[in-house]
Amino acid sequence: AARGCDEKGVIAARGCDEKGLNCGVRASAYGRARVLVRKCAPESMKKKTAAAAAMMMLAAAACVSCVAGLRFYMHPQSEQCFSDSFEEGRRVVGDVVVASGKGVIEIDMVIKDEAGAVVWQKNNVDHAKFEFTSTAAGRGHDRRSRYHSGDHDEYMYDDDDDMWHSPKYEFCLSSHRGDSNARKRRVTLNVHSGASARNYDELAKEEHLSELETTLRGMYDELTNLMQEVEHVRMREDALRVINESTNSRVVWYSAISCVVMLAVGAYQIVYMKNFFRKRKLHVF
Amino acid sequence: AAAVAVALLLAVWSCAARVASGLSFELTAGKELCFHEITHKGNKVLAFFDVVSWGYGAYVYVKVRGPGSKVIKDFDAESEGRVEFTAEADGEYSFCFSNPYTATEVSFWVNIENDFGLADVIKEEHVNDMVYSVERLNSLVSAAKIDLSSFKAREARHRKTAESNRRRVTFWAAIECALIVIVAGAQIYRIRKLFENKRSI
Repeated sequence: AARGCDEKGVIAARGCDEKGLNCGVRASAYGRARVLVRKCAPESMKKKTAAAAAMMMLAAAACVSCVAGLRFYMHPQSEQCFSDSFEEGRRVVGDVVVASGKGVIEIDMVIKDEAGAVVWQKNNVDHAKFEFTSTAAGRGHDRRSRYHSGDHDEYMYDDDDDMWHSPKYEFCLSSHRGDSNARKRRVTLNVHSGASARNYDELAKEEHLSELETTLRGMYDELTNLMQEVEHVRMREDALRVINESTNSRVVWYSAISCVVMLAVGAYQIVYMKNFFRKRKLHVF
Repeated sequence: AAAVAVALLLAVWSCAARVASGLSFELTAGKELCFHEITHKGNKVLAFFDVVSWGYGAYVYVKVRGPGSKVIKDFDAESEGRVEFTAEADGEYSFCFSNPYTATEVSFWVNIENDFGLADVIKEEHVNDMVYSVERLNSLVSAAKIDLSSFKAREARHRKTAESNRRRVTFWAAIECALIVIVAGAQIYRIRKLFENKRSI
């Protein structure tokens, strides 16, 4: 039998039941899959129907491990929060899938921004999608410009976030309702932003792009984002260099000053005591 | 055949490039949090974690386990780590984080190569070299994103260390000078007192 196939010649895609249907992971507009069943072709058939096999494999393959996310178990009466920073203005999309299990358990999800305001909320989540645009929650001034203008107060770099601030969002899941015999549930959370978040189906229709062009456009967007991030990291590392060099020169200066102070004070002590004894007419010297 | 190739490419890209950014989570002291991934034999798995909190106690214990609870990699009190392996068997792989003493914030990212039997199909179909090249380009872009994320996290932590260093140097140098002056003053004062009420020696 071909790899991974059972006697009937059927592979169950992940999360699917015995018939290969009702798979746990569903398609989203940001993935491309629609069909979730994967069929094996036994060795003998493969050579004859390679094309057919490839087509089917494509259809299935586009889904199964498509959404790269975090999978974990939620226990009853617990809370789990995740946070991430997204560059301002970027669109953030994602979805959450709660697998079925024993007992009744209700898992609620809420997305909050830094100020604590609720951006998205859903109770009793089974499979939900969310989408929002990252906006700065009314921060006073942009500290990044202070760094660049050069007039920075050196004692103000307390917090990394102050200088290179990206709005931070928190994704919280809680399971406070449900009955007592409920067991843990597997939850899958996926969050994408930037190039991963664009809907290429729509774009293809709008601009009448062929599939290859869409693919390459997507790759281009990914790489553009990547290059922006590289630039960002490069600037941050420049700040690191400045800090390190400043510390380096400070160590030298402060040690020198320290030595000078010690010598001066020692000399002053001796002079003072000499005068003191002279005044008291104690000719210890 | 061309249509197949292109569709294949499309499917591969749409998956390989769809990489979620590293989410950070708060790990409470003493509790263990595990993430699970199911994959097939032969898939490459890449994961990295980085402790966002800084300071004393900012580390985690991580255990990477394969199917049958076989330990693949073990991190003891590390503040960052990276594990890359090829899945040896089908099944569930888990990444468990714990810190017995302090609450820490950890950022974690995992990527699993998709399993399409792509190599087989390509050989059989004699697919165009360009398709294969673009597919490999995709994996490289994903890998680049992963490495960049890990680099960003490390850089943030190193900068915190450097800033803390500078603050400490300044503070303790000031304390040192102040102490020298105070101790000198105290010495003089004490010696004066010694001679105050005594008759000459």
